[in-house]
Amino acid sequence: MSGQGKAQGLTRRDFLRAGAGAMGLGVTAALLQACAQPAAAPATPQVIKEVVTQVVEKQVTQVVEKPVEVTKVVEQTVEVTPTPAAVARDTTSPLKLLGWPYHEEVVKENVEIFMKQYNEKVEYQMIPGDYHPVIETKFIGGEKADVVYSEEDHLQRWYKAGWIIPIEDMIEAKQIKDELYPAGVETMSNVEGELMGLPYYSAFIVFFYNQALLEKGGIDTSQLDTWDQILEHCRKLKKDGICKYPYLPSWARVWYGLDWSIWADWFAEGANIFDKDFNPTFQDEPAFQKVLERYKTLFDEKLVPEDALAPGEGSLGWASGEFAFGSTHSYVMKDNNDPATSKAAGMTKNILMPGAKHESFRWVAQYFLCKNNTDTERAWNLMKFMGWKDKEGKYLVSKKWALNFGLGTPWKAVMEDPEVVASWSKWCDMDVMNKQGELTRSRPVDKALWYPEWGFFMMEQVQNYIQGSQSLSDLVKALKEKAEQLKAQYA
Amino acid sequence: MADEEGSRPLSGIRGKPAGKEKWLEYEERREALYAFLLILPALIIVFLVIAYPLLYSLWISVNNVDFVRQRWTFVGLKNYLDILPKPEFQMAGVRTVYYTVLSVVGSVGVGLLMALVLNESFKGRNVMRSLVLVPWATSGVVIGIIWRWIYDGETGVLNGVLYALGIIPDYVPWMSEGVRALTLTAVAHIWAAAPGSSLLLLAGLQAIPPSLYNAAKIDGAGAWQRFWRITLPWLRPMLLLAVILSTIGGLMTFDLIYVMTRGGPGSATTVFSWLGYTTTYQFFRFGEGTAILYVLTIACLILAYFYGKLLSREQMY
Repeated sequence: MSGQGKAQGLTRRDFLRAGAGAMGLGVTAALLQACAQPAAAPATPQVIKEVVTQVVEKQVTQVVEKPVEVTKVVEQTVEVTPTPAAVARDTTSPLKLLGWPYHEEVVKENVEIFMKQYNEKVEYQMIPGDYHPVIETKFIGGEKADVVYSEEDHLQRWYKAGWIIPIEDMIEAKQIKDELYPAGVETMSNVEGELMGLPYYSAFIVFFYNQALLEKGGIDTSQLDTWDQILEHCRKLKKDGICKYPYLPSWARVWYGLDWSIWADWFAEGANIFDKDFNPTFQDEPAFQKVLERYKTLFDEKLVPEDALAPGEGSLGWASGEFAFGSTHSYVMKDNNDPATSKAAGMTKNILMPGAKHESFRWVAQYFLCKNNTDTERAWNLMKFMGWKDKEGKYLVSKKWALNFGLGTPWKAVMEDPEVVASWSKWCDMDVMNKQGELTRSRPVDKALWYPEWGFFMMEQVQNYIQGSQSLSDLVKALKEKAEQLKAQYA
Repeated sequence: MADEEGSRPLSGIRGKPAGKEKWLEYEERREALYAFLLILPALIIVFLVIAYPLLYSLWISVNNVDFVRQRWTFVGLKNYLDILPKPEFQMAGVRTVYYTVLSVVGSVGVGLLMALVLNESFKGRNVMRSLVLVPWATSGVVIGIIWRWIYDGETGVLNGVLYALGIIPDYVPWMSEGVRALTLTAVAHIWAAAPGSSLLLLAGLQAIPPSLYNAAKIDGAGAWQRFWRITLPWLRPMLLLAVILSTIGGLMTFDLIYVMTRGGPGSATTVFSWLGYTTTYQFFRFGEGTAILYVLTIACLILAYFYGKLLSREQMY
């Protein structure tokens, strides 16, 4: 009934052939073949014949006048990866940059500058919705792209799938590594240690409070060290009618929502979730369960908005000035303290993540160089411009993001730039921000091919638990089983 | 040429009917072939855009497809056998049925009311007939965004209106609870689908001969009797068609779920279409995901078959 067939290599062309064969229609197959894009040349193994001439000194007793010349034909398979110079270069087609929606007007402006500096043509596509699955589907479909945005949890997955290529061998690689914080290099490298990406931005989860509301509630702001203290403050503020919902979390089921928030809270409590071989360890980790129980308490006691689990921002957001505590991406602090957009402007104070260790989760969103690019040299120019320096050697894009939007970066020169430091000091406590920055860590498990799948599953299950539709033990069991199943599946 | 044409009928007159029949048969075949050749390009296009994807996805559903590592393993019916006993699949089935029943009853019921109103004579009727079609012609994503804002717990119009009228003492986070979120999503679906049903039913209403109503009035039939004894029986074929389309629309709903709930909170609004989507594109289990969506397709086919049977029976009436 369900005979296990033999696993075999699969290409897009195989797909088309299989489908056409099943239908038994030669016409359809021919049409589809005609429509198919030509297979990418670099990955195609080629059989070549190598003629080896060996000169053999014959060990014989008889006297010979000269060495015997033996000609031997050796057939072997080698994988030929053409260098940019070895293939016909495409210098006319526009380069394609794919990214998720975030201030598209700024990205377009940057692209315009690049096109002027390099006399280039670039097609920028903004991908709304589920960005990473859409990009993966595009890659599977054989779509050509040059540079793509991605979060670090897709680095190894896309590299192993053969969709992106390392930049380790680029001549600028050493200089790039020297100019980055070591943690940034590690995050942007694959398991094999090759540099894969250049930074779009980096950030981490921060915790903050509304000073005005805490003062109104008579809360001692020196007592914000642990979650036990925060919970008590939340209860008091709610009871006193100062806040309907004292805490604004980021619990929506999106990768930049619950997935990042809960990891930050796990790190803050010192929980270890997976070991170095990506085996789950959370089932024996009290801090892991403590965070989950706290989430449920916050939800059950209505200390968070009741629609915190729904898509969107959950409610008006921090800008309404109605929340006493909040936790989200570090750069959002800029908007939180912007009088033009926030009623809590000037009152939003960042503090270290409450918890036993005060650590937080950090990430680096990156630009990757696609394997199926138009022209590697041109695509690399675009990637360098967006993720490193412009043609004049300035950190044009990174610094613009840092100054105008509060986006961090692993470039030392940008983060230590006095102009950036002065700008950030207007909307956050830089000492606290720097200290929190030192207390951040990335997720090693991001380098597992299957992490995005586990993360998506985890968010659903955690939401079910928070809502009370499953017990904590069932949740832990389900998460463990999913991790083991995925690990086995991708083994 | 003229001789040829003239000779043909003669053969029949001279007592060779078999020859004439053969000739007619040949002509018919030739015409059929000609007609077939004319529609062949369209057939090929239809095959490529409908039959090919269907067969292709059927093929995927009997394979274990790992696109990330580019592996393809034939597993027969394993994907189907794996998904059927899973609690998440069964729960998604229950939610799909709940959502579909609500959508069908709501969209056909409201559509019928709208059609009855629009069938009456009143000032601005033509403008109204055009306006009611706007939701039906609006894309699902836009409808989802509109209704998400309407239901918003803090700034939504629904809370504003109910609070102003004194119906609720405080703002309600409408989408925070599973069954309520699914029900409210179905309401958004009804809002979008009812105009389509009303259009069909209005066409049905206009086909009813006015003489029937006149005769009924003379016989002393009241409004309810006229509706029950004349309108409804005459509308049945159109009602069935509206029910078929609403059922398929309800079963296949994806855009509203994607925009309004994303299957949550938790998995509380995960219907078949969302489960199939996440299994396929979030978990990249193309085999299982396609199998889930094929179950949905088969359910639609079975329902369409039974509805079709009912429809043909009604047409005999």
